[in-house]
Amino acid sequence: MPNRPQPGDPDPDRIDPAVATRVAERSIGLFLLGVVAFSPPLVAVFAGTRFVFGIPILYLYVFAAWAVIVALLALIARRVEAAMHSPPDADAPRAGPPVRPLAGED
Amino acid sequence: MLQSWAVVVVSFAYLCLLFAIAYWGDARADRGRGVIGPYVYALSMAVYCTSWTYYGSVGRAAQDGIGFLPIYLGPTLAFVLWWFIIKKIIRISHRHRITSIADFISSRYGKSTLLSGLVTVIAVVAIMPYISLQLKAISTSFTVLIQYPEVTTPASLEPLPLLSDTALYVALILAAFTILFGTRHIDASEHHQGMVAAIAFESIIKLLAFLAVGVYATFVLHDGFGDVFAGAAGDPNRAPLLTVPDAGSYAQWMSMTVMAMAAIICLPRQFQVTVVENVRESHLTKAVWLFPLYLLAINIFVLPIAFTGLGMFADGSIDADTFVLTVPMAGGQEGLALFAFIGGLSAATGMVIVAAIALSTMVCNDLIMPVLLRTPWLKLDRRPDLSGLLLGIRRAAIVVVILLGYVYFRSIGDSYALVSIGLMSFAAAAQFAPAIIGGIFWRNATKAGAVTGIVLGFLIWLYVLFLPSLARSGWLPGGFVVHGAFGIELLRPYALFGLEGLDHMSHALLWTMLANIGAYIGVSLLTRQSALEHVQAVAFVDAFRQTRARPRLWRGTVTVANLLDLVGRYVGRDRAALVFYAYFRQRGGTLEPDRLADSPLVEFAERMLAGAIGGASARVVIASVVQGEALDLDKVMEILDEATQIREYSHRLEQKSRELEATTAELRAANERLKELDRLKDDFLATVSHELRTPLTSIRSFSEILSDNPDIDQDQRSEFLDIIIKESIRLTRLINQILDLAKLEAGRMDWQIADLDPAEVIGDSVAAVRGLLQECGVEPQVHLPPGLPPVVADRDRLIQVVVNLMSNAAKNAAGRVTVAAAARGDRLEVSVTDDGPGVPEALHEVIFEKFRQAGRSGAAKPTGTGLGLAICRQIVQHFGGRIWVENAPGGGARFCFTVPLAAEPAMAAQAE
Repeated sequence: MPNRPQPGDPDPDRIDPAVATRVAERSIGLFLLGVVAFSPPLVAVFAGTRFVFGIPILYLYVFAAWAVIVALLALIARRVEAAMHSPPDADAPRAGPPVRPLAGED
Repeated sequence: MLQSWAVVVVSFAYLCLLFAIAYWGDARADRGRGVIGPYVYALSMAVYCTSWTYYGSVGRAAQDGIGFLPIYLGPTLAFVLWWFIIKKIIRISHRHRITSIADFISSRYGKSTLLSGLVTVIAVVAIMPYISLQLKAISTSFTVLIQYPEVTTPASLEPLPLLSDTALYVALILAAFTILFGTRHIDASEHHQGMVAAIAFESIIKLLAFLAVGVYATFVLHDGFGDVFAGAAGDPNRAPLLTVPDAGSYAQWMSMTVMAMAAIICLPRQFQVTVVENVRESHLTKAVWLFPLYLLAINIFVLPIAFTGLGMFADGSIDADTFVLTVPMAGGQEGLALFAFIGGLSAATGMVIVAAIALSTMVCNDLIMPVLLRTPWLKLDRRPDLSGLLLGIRRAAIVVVILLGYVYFRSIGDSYALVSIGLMSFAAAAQFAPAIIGGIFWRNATKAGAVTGIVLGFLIWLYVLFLPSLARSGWLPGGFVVHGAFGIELLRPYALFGLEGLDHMSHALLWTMLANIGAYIGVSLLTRQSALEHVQAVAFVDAFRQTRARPRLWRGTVTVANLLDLVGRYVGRDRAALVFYAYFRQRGGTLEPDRLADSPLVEFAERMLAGAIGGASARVVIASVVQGEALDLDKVMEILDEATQIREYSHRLEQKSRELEATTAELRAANERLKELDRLKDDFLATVSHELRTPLTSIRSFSEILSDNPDIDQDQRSEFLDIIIKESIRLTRLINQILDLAKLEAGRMDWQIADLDPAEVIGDSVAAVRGLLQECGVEPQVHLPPGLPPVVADRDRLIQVVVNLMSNAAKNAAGRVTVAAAARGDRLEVSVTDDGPGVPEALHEVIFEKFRQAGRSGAAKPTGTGLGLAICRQIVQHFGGRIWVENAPGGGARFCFTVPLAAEPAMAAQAE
């Protein structure tokens, strides 16, 4: 049965609870950021025919905000990935994942 | 190059490539090396981008600039919340072997057949026209393409005759593809590896094709983005598109975002690729950002293409929906135009394939099978093998769905109903969102609430979106659109209850969601869950907290062989046997056909069946064979209740036994005490008899001497008689004291408690012993402060205590005995001090016990009875006081005791 987890699989359940809480908090934070960034009044701030590098500032803003959100989402997902792959030794107290791929966080 | 035969050949070659990829994928998966990795998984999600978005985004952008974006921003936002929603849905679906969105919703609400059928019907009504739209896009783009080098708008073209319509053949091929790669397994919760691989490939093709057209429009026809926008800004037609739409479209922007957020989870095809085809939860960590990135990438060139097209065909002769195709055609790029066509083809076919699989699974498992299983005269339970029937139904459903889509598009033509179905299907899918999101977070949401919400939402959707769209296409009389149903103004579908000023979509979303969410919450609050609903609700809401232990729902008698036979009928004998053997091997047992199946095995079988025929049907099937209508959950609850009661009893028993233990301990202690008392009594008797015998012996001895020697001289005789008298007195005193003590200890003493003046009592006592004191050559000294408060005691007994202490002191004193008294707190402390040798510290306690005397070294024999102090203690304790001995300063012993003072009123009375 291919959809049964195999023993060596990275297991989302093995994530350190502290990391999981952080991931949850950041996910909500990012969602709120996205809601605000794409809310019509804020988008309307960039209305008008102003240009940056020849591109209307409205388009530049929307796509840039979108790209930033995707990038932050990727960072969160990589944090989860790193936590999933950390060894699941129950004996050793795990203060955090051994791999800390996110430079400059916290 | 763009002759129709060439286009046909290339298209068919492309479709053949799809077959090859799917075949390769399945073959690889059969060898145990699945093709669905995180990247393929993420790409397969891009089935979200259909031909409606491939061609339609540009068309929409040409109309209102940035207004097309919410369709893509919504999914991005929804994926930001993957940690809470998508991960949980996937976890639940894996555990329950969910096969479709209808299965998911019905499983959550007590495996309800009604709900699964309802969701299926809505999905078919909403999605089947969407499939038509894809086929139409193929047909239209083909028609436009083969006009090359002429560039014309499809509206001005005659529809192709049926037999030369590529779309028909494409539809047939797609049906074949879907049957081939979509129904390989009877278990619908298994992954369609080949199909997913093909979809991922299609996602790459459509992205590349769109990017190619975008690069061509931006960097070949123009000199980069700046040039595109500069040209647009100079054109009065295009310049308004560069700015944001006015405030009136805020609502549209937001409602489209919300609908797209719901759609990315609730569209059956998205549920299929995201949830059912998910192999590992961990793939999500890649997919959650790769998929939004894909959406971002495929939208970068939408505006440049739109502006380029608007600039090229400034006369408006060309439909903006075809710009992706017509811009390269107008630029003379045949190869690019063909590639763009293939991209559109891939977008359309991907959607058709996945939607057809999802819909056919739902139609088979959630609509037809439950009905068939409940139709007794079909005698389905007698059929030896039902897997063929299942596959047959699914395959037929695929053909019917796709061909119905084709017929719908051929008959309804280029009408509003078809063009607007994209967003309309989003709005319909959004009706599932409250039941799904509420279902995984709100434990008390009930089936009644979900059904009411979905039904109301769907009915309103029909009335405010679907029926008007049919009316506008001329399929229904249009009167109700303008004047409202039955001529009631308030019921105008586009301004329901007078709500005006919103676009149709926002208007529809507002009313459907208001009714849907309102009914869902309201009815859930007013109704109760059945037991099974409750069990499922807990399993869904606590998906992450739950361990593998699940409530045992089956309590029937069915043998392993019967169960195996049952599962085999639906999923195939060999496969069932294989899985059962694996099950037993995993548990370290062997398959014994004649054994009764235990509850976990029955549940395992139910899950197996659920994977094949859906949760609702699986329940019906299992219930038919597990005897004793095992899943009467109310019975389970009863058992639970019984268990609770038994626990209660056992709890009470425990308490009783604890009490018993305590009583036993008390008894044991009492017994110990009794034994101790018995021992004391024996000791006492022994001591008393000894003490009595001593004077008796001496009396008897001297009496015998006197009797045997009548000639004894007078002096000696009187001396002997004197001894006899003294010993008799001592004997009498001893007996009196023993009697006193016995009375005291037995509590039979007559007490005459009264308020007494201590000075008087002490004075009397001293007078009583004065003779004895003088005999001993001791001078009594009495120190009593004036005005001593009265005490509460028995006068005679109190005198007895003081006399006793004084005679004791007199016997030991060298020449002086002092009696003192003073009030201390609520007590009067009386002390009797002598100037004798004192009492050793070690004897301070024991001296008050019976027959214990402070034996003085050198002294021949104590003169007391050894009972006096014991009696004193008894009396003082009875008064509520305390007696003790301490060393007096300057040697000697000081015996002290306390007596409680009389209460205040008595004192006041005394003072008067």
